[in-house]
Amino acid sequence: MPGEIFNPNPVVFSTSKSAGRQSDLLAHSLWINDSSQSEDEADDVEPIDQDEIYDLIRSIYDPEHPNTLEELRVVSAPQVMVGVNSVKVEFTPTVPHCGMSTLIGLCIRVRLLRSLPERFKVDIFVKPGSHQSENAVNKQLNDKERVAAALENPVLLDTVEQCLSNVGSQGIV
Amino acid sequence: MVTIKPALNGLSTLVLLPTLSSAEALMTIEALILNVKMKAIVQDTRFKVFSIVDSLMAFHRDVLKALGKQFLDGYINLAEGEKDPRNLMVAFAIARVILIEFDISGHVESMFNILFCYFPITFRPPPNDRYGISTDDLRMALRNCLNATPAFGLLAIPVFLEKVSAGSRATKKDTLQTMAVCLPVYGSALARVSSRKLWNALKLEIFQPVDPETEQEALKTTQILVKTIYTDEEASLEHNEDIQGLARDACEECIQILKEPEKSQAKPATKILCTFMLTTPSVARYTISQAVPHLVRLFLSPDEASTRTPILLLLSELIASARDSTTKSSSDVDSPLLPYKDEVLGVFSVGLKLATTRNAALSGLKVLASTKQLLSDEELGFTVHNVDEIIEGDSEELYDSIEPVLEVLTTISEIAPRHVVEQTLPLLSSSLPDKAPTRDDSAGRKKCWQTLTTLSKLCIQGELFEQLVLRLTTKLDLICFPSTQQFLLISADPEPTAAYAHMILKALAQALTTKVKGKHPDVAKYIDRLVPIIFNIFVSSAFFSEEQTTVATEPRLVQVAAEIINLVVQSVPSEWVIFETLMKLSSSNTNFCRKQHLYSIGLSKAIVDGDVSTIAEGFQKAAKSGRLSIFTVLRRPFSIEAPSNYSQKSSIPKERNIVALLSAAVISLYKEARLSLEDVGAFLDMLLNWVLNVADNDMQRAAALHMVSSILNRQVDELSSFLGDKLDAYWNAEVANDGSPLPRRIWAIKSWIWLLILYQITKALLVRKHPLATTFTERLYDAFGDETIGWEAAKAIGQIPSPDTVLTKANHAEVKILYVQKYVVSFISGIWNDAVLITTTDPTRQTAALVALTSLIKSIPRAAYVHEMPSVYPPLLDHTIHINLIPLLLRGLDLPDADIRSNIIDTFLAAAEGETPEKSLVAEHSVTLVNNMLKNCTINDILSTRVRISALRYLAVLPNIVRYDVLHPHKAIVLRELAKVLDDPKRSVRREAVHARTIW
Repeated sequence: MPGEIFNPNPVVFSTSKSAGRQSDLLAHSLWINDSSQSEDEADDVEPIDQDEIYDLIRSIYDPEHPNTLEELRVVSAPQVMVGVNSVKVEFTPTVPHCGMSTLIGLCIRVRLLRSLPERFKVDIFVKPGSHQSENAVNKQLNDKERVAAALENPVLLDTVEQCLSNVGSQGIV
Repeated sequence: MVTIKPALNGLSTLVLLPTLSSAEALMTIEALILNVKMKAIVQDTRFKVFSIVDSLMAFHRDVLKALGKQFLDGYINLAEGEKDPRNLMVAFAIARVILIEFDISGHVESMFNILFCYFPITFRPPPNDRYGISTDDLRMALRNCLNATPAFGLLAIPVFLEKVSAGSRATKKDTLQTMAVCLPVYGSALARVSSRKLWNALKLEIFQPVDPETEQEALKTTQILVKTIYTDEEASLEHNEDIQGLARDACEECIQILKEPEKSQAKPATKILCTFMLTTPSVARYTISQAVPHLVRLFLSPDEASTRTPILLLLSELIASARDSTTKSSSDVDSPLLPYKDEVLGVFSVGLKLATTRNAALSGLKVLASTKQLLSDEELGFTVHNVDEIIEGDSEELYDSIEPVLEVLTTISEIAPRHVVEQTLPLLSSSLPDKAPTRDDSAGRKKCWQTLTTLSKLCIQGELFEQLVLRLTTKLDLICFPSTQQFLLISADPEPTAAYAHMILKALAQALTTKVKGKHPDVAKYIDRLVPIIFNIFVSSAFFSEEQTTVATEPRLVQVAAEIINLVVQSVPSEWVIFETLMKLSSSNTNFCRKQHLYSIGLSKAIVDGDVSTIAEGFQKAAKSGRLSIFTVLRRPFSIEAPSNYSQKSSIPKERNIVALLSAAVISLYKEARLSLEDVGAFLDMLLNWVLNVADNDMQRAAALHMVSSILNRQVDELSSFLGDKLDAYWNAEVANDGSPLPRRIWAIKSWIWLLILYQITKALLVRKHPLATTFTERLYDAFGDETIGWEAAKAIGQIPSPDTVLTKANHAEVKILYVQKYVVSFISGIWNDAVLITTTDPTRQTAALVALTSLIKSIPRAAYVHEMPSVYPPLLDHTIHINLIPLLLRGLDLPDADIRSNIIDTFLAAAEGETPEKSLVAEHSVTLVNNMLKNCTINDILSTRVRISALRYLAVLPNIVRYDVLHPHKAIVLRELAKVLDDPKRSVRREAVHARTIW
């Protein structure tokens, strides 16, 4: 990790409880049944949605702090947009001069690369107006070649792996 | 030089002799000091030297003391530069005695040098260490030397500071711990002088911790530092608000940081303040007087409106440690928080008003309420009132903070239930409508259920629960027996009303379950209050059901009601029963209620004669006079011909549902409190016939069978003739009767039912380890060859040892330990042979054996878990797998039944627990396993979500239990295949796929 710390004292937000999916709340039958077992075998298709992608990236660690991206409000569910075969993720660096933005973006990209079906095209942007060199960062993050090259770098890959070290725990409830 | 080693050997034995005189001891030590050159001899020989000194220290300490300076000089010379861990252990022990008992004023520095050169210990024991000395042993021994004398203080502090700031994680931790034990010894004067430097070093560890553990240690050390400084002057500071020195500076520093409560540094700052709270009363008072008003001011300042949530969180953390500080000292001192109580309560009450700050405020209120003797009765009432306002408010917002709301109210209800009873309960129950929400009103229904859930979680405390029972049963009665104009509406569409009644019963059952789990003693008394009312409602409804629509006849309702009855009856303590028999059922004990025994008499009446008057007192009169005719019709002719009578004068089907309620009570009776029946065998016989010929749904059948098995379990010794009869007659007549003239389909269903009965009976016997159990199961086992029932029989074999809810300790059944083990051991080899060996002869039988095996194995670990016997199973399981179970199970994966597949995969998962890459049983099969699992997790091949999830879980486990080099060749395929699974239509499957892929 580089010696310089860009934001030594960031604001930490309390994480909201994962509110139930909208569809879950509405699906209220006449009888209260306490087993969801039967639901599992139902045939309806559950498409990949905003919340699911947010669940995938929320527990990535910030490269600078022992906090997750969710706690620092770097990512949030409304900042994820899902199309038919495309995903657009927007994130907010904690400070405008943050040199870690590219790394954060790279972590998000690697995580989604590993966890989404291949048919999706992933675009990652910093929130407009939240970073001083916004264009450069965006360009770097969405350039396939440069992402591939970055992942060849063992030191960088190691840092990314460290940020992703805890993402698995979110999956198992 | 050559003579030194043997001389030392001799001496080391001699010094142990009790006859060694002081003069000789003196000679020995002088000779050692004069002649031994430590650098010139090997470690074993050096060990002799240390042993000799150690022995002299033990037996001739006065001689060494008299020698004084000469000994110290000599010893320091000997000990200097020692490196061997074994020798060091002895050396540290000697050093501690020297430091404590000898006059070392002239040698502080040299002693310091020969000890602190080892600090911190970085020794790592070599593999196969002969002496078994661990790093921690050395660390502890050294630490005992370092804190042996205050004289080290001045010299030690700089060393500590240097090691803390420069060292690695382990060093930091060691240093912090050592400081924590040394500081009190070194004394408050030194601590005060060096407090600034120490604080600076500790601060760094707290605000920028390397890991949480270090942070914890640093906080602990800080606490000890503050304690050391201020404990001495505690008496003089007793009533002085002001405080000087470190605590003041540190406090100010933290409060400076707390000016930005939303920043990440605020958290460690609060932790430090909390730590101060746990030091001395005066420091705690001072900290509170600084921090609390500061936070309150911040909260009230309009500029900081956006940061109110973190302010409240920090504040509640502070008062939580204020609370803990007083409970620790357990004296009658007022909480240091007392002077600021009003302000804090005010701030939290304001916080309640806004949705964003609500949860934080609630957690603060909970802490306030749980602080002893802080809030007055009115203040608690005021808090309840404020919290109630949330409940009254928007239901969507309430739903977000329902948990903390309940926590606050529960905390208060433990101290002062009156407020909750008077304020909250009426509020909640008045929001429950008297009639059910209509079919389209899903919002209303949701609200009802939320209110009921809230009630069932809140009303756990005795007084509250009483209120709950009272209110809900009244409501239930109102719903089940509506007024006439209501009635027309309901009979048009009874289902919503039934669902509403179901909700109410469910809420009651939930509250009861919590109470039973918590072993609340007051549950038992509801056998007089709640149970009769429930019986009353259901029995009356059954009576009415002939003339009109009644809601309480719905089977789902009956089931929940049965659950409630079971919970109450099983909680009646056994002492009551014994007491009862002693009193010979004297009439004077009406106050003591009907206990189980008395209760069972009433119950028997109800079952045998249909007379429910004693057990169903309540609002409805009908239950008093009416007679249940569930069994009465069948009772007279005990024979199979009963069905013919039955068609003429039947009990109505709705009435037969009541059997579930009766059974729920019967299965939890004590052995001593059995039903008073004339002829138990005949009764059971009748019940079995009833199941087969009269009962019209599965619930009734199961209930009756539960009754049978539970009676059998308790009275098996008296019922041997009944069992002998069963064994032959019924098996032949109903199960094995191939030439049955009945249509095949009915026959199959019947045999299934009979299997169920056999299963229940076997289970009842098995749980008591009765020898007949085996015979019964063997019958089942014989049925494998039959095409139609083989499959079901096999499944039943597997289900027998699985845990159930009827014959359990909670229901006072006689349960023998290890019964499952015995059963499994006796059967596994037989099934095993069938599955493997008879490959050619009989495919049906083989499949059945395979099915039995999988369901059997699946129920083993669970059963073991329930009976807390985990140690018995792994060897068994290992063993079975070891004799090549795996290929067999893999073959089972080709069976079409989804349940079996997922059972098999679950078996693999269970076997994977406790496996390591070094010693894995599945390693040689990993290729097949991987391919099989991949096949089982794709949507195109497998339709069952459960199988896909299990397969993915197993894939995720594999890399942890099989060596990497074995799996590496498959990595690419697995990743590619899993990429396809990532596109599964089911969210839960995708989540497992992501997890599995991340692990690979």
